[in-house]
Amino acid sequence: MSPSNIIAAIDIGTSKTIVLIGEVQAGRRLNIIGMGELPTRGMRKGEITDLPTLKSVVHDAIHAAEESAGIQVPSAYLSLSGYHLSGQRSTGVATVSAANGRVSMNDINRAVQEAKGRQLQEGRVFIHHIKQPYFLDGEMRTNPLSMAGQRLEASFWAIDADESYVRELIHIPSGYGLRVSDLIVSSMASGAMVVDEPMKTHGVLVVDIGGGTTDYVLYRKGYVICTGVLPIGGEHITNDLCLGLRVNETNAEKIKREFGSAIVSPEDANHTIWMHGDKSIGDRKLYVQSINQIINARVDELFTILRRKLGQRLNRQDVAAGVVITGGTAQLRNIDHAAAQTLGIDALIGKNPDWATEDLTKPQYSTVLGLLQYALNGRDREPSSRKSGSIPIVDAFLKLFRI
Amino acid sequence: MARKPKNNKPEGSRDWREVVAQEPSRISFAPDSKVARWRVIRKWIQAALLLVFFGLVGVIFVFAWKEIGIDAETPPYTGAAVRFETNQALTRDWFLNYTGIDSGKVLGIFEIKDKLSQLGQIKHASVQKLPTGELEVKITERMPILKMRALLPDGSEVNRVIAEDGIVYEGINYGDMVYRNIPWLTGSRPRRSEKGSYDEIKGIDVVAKLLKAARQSNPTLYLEWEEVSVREFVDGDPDSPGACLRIRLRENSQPPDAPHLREVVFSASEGECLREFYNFYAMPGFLDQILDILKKKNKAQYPLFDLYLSLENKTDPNRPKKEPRLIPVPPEEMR
Repeated sequence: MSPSNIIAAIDIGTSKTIVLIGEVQAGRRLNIIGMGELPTRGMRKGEITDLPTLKSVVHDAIHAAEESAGIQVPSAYLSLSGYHLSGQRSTGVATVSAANGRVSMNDINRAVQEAKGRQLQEGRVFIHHIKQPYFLDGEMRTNPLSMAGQRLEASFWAIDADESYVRELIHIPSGYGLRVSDLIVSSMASGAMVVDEPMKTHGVLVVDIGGGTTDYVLYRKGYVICTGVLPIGGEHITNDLCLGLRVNETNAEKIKREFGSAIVSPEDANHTIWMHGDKSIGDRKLYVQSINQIINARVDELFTILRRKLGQRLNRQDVAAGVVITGGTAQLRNIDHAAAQTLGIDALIGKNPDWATEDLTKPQYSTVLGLLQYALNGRDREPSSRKSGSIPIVDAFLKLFRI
Repeated sequence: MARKPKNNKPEGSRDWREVVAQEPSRISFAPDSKVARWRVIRKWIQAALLLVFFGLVGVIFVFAWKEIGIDAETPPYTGAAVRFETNQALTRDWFLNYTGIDSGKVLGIFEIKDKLSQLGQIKHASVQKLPTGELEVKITERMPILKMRALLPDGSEVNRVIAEDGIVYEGINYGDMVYRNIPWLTGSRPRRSEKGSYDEIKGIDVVAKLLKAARQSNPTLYLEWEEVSVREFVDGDPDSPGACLRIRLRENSQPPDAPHLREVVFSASEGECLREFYNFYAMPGFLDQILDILKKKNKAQYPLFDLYLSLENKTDPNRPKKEPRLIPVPPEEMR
């Protein structure tokens, strides 16, 4: 097993920390050889609240993955989420300078540099510059090189994050001796996993509902149109159930998983369940309608906020492939129906690809698998990148996001 | 440490790779991490294992040196300086007399060991010098299971005992009760070596195992066993066709409240299928059940009780049951 064939991914979520180690085999196949999964502590609603505790959990998860793989990994790809993330479209314009009126590489570089030159506030750092299509005299072009025109516009979806948060996050694997190969925004990783190229071309919204946050990415015509994070997740639903039903967090989580539904149906009216099921001391009879009303209110709120955030960008014509829901909360029953009702477009639950082993097919693994997929794609581009004298990591980034 | 922006990056760009330094270090674990704790524990375990290893090597070395040293010295041990332990009949006085130590004979440890190992009664002997200067002798004796009559070269007849591993020996210090409680072996004629001693009886271990099982499971009845015939115990293999062990019981000493038994036949060779169901060595455990059946049915007149087990319940031939059952066989149906 050559160390160069080993790639690792770390997804530090609000509820779970997952570490995967994969071995790249011949034919660009990825074989998962190590896994570490632990409940996250020291993080609440996507924010780090106790760094030492979080560090110890992540280190233990890395250690477990290394133990199961039987190797030590030198670097890993790390997911990034949280409400501190923000995205903006930045554009750069260049006038075609060649005498023949055709776009040269120099024109493209000038437009790109101007688009990327946006100043950030102090304390903010760029995470991704995701390429969007070029516009040549107002016409969309995938590659305008050598095409005739006067005004070239390059645009990027630029994602930036809080610098101190990024520092703290990178400090966690660094403390274990791991170098962070790249930071990937969770929604991008999930998106890479649960939707394919045709869906991206038709237009699709990927919603990754985690424990503390909901990450989303909107694709249209094969490009990332926008990304974002909402500070609402599965833990909020659990919390609502705690308050509404007057049960503790453990029982609320259990009720949500076992009996909860994101929509309220007429059949729920007279349906009751027992909290523990054994009618022991403390066991209570609960109305399913009450449970589902509480869940539905929060889920509806989540998708309503999402609809407002996306505004006119979310319509049946431009998002023909619908909404793909992933993340741990995607396992909530009928959440796809709730999404379809509120967003007004078709919705479905995301499925991880076939190469993921049986244990990893659940939607909560889409982010960490997406990180590995990103790493795998990045590796393929490295040799050619070196030949052209460019930076390998940038090329890897370009391939995944089609820049 | 922040690096300078690359040339192809626009001025003002704050990419995280350039702003946030990475200094990975495997040493700085979080203090309460399980990994950090495990590393510390692992170091201690390694140190402890190393210590145990060197300790064992030291102990082995000391003992080896002690034995070699004593053998080289060959000191004259007096009776007072001997500690003697055994699991059966041999005594300290016997040892002193046998080795000649009580009469002032000088012997090394290996010589003593050799002398002891010449006796068939002794299975294992450990002889060593203690730190106090005493000689410690620990003996494990063989367990006698059968006895036999042996003809000495001078024409006289004496008793010999047979151990569970087939060794024939003279039972030193065996009292009358020990001899009384061991059944006679018949149906076998052990061979004599040129020196006059008997060769080891091959295959007796199977019989020994059965007798041991009988002694443990039914000690009262076992004491009544007078004679074990291996005449039909072909090759010492209970699975050989027709192989059986015949036990003859004492005529006059059986309990009056129990059915009178004259002979018990052990066999596990009736058909292939029986082997799957029946454990030869578990047979003695059934003796109580057989006696109970006989007692309840008041059928004590059966002269022989055959332990042949049928897979089919013979009580109702029309509805045979596929299970091993203990059924008394009337004399007219006996083989």
